[in-house]
Amino acid sequence: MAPVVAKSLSRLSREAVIDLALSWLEDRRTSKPYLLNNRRLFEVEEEDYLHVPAENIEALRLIYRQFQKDGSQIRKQDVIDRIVDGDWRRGLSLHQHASIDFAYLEQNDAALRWSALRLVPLAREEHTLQGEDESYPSKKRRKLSHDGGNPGYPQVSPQTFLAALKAEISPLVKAHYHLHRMAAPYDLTIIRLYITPDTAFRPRSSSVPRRAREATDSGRVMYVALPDNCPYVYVSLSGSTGSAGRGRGARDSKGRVMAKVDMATMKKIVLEAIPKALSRPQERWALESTKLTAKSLQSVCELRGNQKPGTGGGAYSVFTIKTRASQSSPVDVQVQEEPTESDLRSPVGQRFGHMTGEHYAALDRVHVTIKNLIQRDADTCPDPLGKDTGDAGLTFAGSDVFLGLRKLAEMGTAYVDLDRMPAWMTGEMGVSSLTG
Amino acid sequence: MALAASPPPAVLSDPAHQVMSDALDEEIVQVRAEIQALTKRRKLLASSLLSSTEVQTRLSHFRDTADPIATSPDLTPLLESAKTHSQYNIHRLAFGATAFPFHDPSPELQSKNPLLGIRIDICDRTGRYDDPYYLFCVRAGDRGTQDLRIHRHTIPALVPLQDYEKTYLPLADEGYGSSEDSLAVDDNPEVRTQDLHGLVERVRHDLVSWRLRQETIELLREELEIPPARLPSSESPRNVDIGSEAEDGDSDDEDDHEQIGRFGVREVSSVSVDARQVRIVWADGRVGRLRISDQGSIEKAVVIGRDDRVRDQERILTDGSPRLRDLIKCLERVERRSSRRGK
Repeated sequence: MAPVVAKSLSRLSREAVIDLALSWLEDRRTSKPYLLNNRRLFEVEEEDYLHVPAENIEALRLIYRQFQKDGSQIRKQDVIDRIVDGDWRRGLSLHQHASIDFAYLEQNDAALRWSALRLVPLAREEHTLQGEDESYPSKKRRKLSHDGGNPGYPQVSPQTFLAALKAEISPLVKAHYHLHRMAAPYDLTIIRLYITPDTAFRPRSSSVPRRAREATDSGRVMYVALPDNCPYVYVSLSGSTGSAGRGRGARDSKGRVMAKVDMATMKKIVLEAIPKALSRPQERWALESTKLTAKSLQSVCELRGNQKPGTGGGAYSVFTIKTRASQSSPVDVQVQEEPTESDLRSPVGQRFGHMTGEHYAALDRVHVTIKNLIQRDADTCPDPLGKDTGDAGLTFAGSDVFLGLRKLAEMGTAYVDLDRMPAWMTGEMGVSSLTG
Repeated sequence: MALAASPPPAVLSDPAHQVMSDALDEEIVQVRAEIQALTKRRKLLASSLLSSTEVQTRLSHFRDTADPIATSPDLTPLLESAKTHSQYNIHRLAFGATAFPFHDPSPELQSKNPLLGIRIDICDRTGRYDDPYYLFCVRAGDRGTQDLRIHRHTIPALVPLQDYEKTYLPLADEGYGSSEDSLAVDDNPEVRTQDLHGLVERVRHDLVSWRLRQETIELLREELEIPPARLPSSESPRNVDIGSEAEDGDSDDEDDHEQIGRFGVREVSSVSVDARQVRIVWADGRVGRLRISDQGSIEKAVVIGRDDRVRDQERILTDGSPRLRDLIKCLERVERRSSRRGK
């Protein structure tokens, strides 16, 4: 088990590793470290004296507190070794694996790839289907909802959602669930699902994964993030979904009767269960794509959340920055000069707007489909294939796609002609896959 | 400074000179401060003078009649800026929603420029303004049509803007983006007229009531003398494993605050960003949740005591659906009730 766990731990910083170990040792935690007072006889015989077990939990806590205090004297690798080969030599629990992943996510904004999904009420379509007097119900609804407690997004309590989701999928998908609250800049509750290889059709006596590799397999993990009070859900189906399922299929040939566990299908089941778990009688939801996928969770929150940019990036980002004038009182007679930034005077600055600041959301991968591209550009750049009018797909990738395009534009009109540059190139749409 | 540098180094060692140059330095600093204060005062006086209508009319009258040489040259820009500033202030004070033209520089919108920009200012209880929210509308058709659709906005997602757009700005012809969700409304000719005022009113209503709810909670915290401890609206980060799932996450308050506000209330905070739910924690471990309507009245309340729901206190909190602002009185009654029962 060791190399896999050590690898996932070594992504974290030294402080984070120690904090994690301390959090595992809290009183209400169930993870049992290897201690002098709980080792068994055969374990004593196998002991290798490299990491002497602690007396009890309190003593172990003291050891890790000491690590915390000592600062730089202890290397991260030593701490990890102590965790993997010493105090948790029997293996980590699924909860511990989940908390490692979340510690990494908190440190590294771009740890996963998130897609934003929008919750749309299903009731609307039913109204059209009922369709005797179609305008009447919608008009009535408008009046009712003006002051009614129907805010246009579901009121989600993460615990209730989790229970509902579990009830929804448990016949088909067996999973370990972990709820995590991301603090201030995110204000999100994230559910991590570790899908166990056992299905209902293939129950096994123990649901404990036999090997650590199975427990950390990123193909089996998916995340569902529930932002506060907005009609969006962010999901991350991390890892390569296809290969994990196939690998499991190969092991089936050992003669044991097993149902094939296809991870992609499992995740699809979970995805389909999300809107059902959020729904209530008279209030049903469906998911639809918002064409936004990004690695940075912060960007997803900015673009599809209760933040400022909304859909206003690029030329409109002027309106998202904090202005001094807005802070002043309207009865203040004194004229205050606002520092006008020279950045916004230039044509490039006007088009791209602010690319720094708290509300700026960077995208790492943008896919564009341009229709009838060749026909339009035939006169400027003669192409051997100039006759057929095909669609072209363009994918930009990098740490910050639109900042790169801006840099390109700053190099002069030879690279990007600002007068002909379409609006999507400034990133003001706030989507990562679009049709131009 | 020039003075300190000018005397030759030999003289510097002389203590008398040293004292003197120090005194001079101090004087210079004083004079500078005075100049600054006076300039500030002059600015203030000038802008207050200029903002008064009488002075302005007289000045412009004077400028119109007198020959241009007689008027001081720097007066005109000052007058102009004061005028625009006061106009701007009046707009913010009086309307709260202002329309302005906006030129989008991108090539595909050149034919549709200028866009209709709408700016929504919301005043908070200290008399200051939040950052304004913006809404940009663009003509939906090519030419001739007056139909608008929302192009860009900076409005947080808790306002269901897309729904409002469908309700208030239905498009005559589909073909722009939202066609897959074409509503029943589109088929009916009489609902098809666009209601931009309705849209802005609705969005502003939502934003204002959001703001009001947040502020009422802040106000309550102040009146209950709860110290501003943590960030509002964020409960302490916690990990809940599926095994140890707490009931609605409410009973896991182990972080003991020593400070207790009035009526034995330890904490009043909004549960999430939109402040539609309020969480109250009493010092004796009772936990309450309130649901707030858009008008700011308490719709529903749940109080969970040590072992069960405390129905009579819930009834006090929702009796006659009081305003959230009057929560203090309710809490006082709740406190009296619970102390009477305790005896």
